[in-house]
Amino acid sequence: MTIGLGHFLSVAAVLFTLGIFGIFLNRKNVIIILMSIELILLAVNINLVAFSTHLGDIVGQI
Amino acid sequence: MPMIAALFFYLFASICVASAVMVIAARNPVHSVLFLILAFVNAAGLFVMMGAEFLAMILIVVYVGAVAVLFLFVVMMLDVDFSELKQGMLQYLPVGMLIGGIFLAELLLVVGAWAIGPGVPRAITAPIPTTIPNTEAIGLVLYTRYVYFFEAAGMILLVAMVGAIVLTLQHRVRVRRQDISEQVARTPAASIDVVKVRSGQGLGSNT
Repeated sequence: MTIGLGHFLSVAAVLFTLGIFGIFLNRKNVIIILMSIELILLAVNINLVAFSTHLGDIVGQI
Repeated sequence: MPMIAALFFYLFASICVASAVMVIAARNPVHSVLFLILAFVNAAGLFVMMGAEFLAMILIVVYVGAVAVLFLFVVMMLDVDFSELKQGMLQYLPVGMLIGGIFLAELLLVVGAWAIGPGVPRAITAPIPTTIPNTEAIGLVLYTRYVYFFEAAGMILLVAMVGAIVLTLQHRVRVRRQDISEQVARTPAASIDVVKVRSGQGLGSNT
C-alpha cells in the first residue's frame, strides 16, 4: 500500500477535469471561471512536483 | 510508516477533490472561494508528502494569503446578483459532462499506462541533493542556473503592474488636487495682507 507517482498523477488528473468541468458549468460567472483556472494550474503544479520528486530532478520545483 | 503515509495521502487527496467539487458546485461564490482555500491547503499537504516543502509553504503563503483573499475582495465588492447567474447552469451541464468525462478518461488512461523513458535519467540537469534542505537546494539552482529567467519573471511582473496602473488610473478634470510647485512658489507678499483695523468700524472701512 505504498503511495507512488501514479496516485499523485491521478489526483492531478481529477483536479484538472474538475477545473475543465467548472469552466463549462459556470460559464456566466467570471470569478468562478477564474477559480477553475486556478484549479487547473494547481493540477499542473502537482504533476510537476510529482515528476520532480519521482525522477530526483529539482528543476521541476523551480 | 507506509500505512500512515497512505492514510494521509488519501485524507489530503479526498478532501482536495471534494473541495474542488464544491468550488464549482457551490451556489454562493464566497463559499466557493473558501472551498478553493481548503483545496489549496490540502494540495500543500500533498506537496509536503512528496518532499517539496518549500513549494508547499509558498502555495499556502501566495495562494491562500494573496490570491484567495483577492478573490474574496472581488466577490464581495462586485456584489453581483448571483441567483440569476445560475439560471443557465443546467443548460451547459451535458456538454460539460461530456467534455469533462472525455478528459478524465484520457488522463486516467495516460496515468494507468505510463513508463519513464530510457533516456530520461540521463537528462536530469540538477539532481536533488540529500544533505541540504529543500529550500536551500532550490535556491542553489534558482539563483545560479536560472537567474536570467528569474530576472525576466520579475521584469514581466513589473511590466504587468505598471500596465494595470496605467489602464485603471484616470485623471478627472473637475477634481481639485494638490499642486506642490504652486504651494512652494507662494510668497508672503502675494498671500498675506496686513491691515490696521480701527475699533468699532470693522473691516469695511479699510479695504
